Amino acid sequence: MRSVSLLQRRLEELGIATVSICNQPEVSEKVCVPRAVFIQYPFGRMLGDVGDRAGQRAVCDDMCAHLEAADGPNAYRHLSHEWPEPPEETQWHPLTPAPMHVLRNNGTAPKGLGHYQDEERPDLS
Amino acid sequence: MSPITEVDGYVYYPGSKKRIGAMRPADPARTPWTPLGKPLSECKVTLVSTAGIFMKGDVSFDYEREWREPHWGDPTHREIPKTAAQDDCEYSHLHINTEYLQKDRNTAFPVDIFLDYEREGKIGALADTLYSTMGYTPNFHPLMKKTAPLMAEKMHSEGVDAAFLIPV
Repeated sequence: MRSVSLLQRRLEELGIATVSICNQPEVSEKVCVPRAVFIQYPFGRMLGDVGDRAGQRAVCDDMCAHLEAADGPNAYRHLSHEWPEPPEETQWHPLTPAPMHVLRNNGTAPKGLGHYQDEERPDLS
Repeated sequence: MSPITEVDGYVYYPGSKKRIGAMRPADPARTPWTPLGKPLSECKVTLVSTAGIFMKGDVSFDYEREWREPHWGDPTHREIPKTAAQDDCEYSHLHINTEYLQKDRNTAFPVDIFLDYEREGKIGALADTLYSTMGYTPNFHPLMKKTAPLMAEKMHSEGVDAAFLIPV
């Protein structure tokens, strides 16, 4: 989620107007993106469920509206759409754990953000 | 249950709260800004997915290296023609269940919805080229310094005004 926010900032710096969607508002707000909408939908299906074209379109409509309405950076809007099943019953994890998750599961992952190479942050200066 | 007025960013991944809480905030006074400048109905737009999407036959994202070095993620991008169909692409991100995207790309890569927008005149046009990165890139400097400028250069060459970024 951090990478897409950083990519968004960079594209905006390079002259492209951008809008993103995110289900972890704290990341967008900490990275500071130009325009973002927030939604409480699961990873991998942030626009809506399989086959729900009307619902997916409603979320895209909200992104379009926010792109047009935002009049300055750090423009954030929380969307009220609700996922149809409770979070504890909503599947999003891969069937095979990702490499970093394997390390986290066996307790050998780097602590905190140690593996994130953010020590210089030239992109944010 | 009361209506959502503020999104809870940790209902699906509570384990990420500590890491995200440890992130240093950037200075909001320095957030970049490019005005849209005209109505969306006159804009050419593109899509940027982080789902690790690539055309069948194109070079895959480098997952062999990610398995060898789990703290590393492929920082490159792939271009996808807007004419590509659902089954012309691979959906490959290792950190999510990609079965949903494989069944219906519009769950996180809304090509068909934006083609509808183009037909209806809601947007001026969908650019010929759409983009995907692979969103797990702790090594994000190459993404910022090399990949993003390449993407922006291509977007400018196609007259793109705005990009919609959809992570997974």
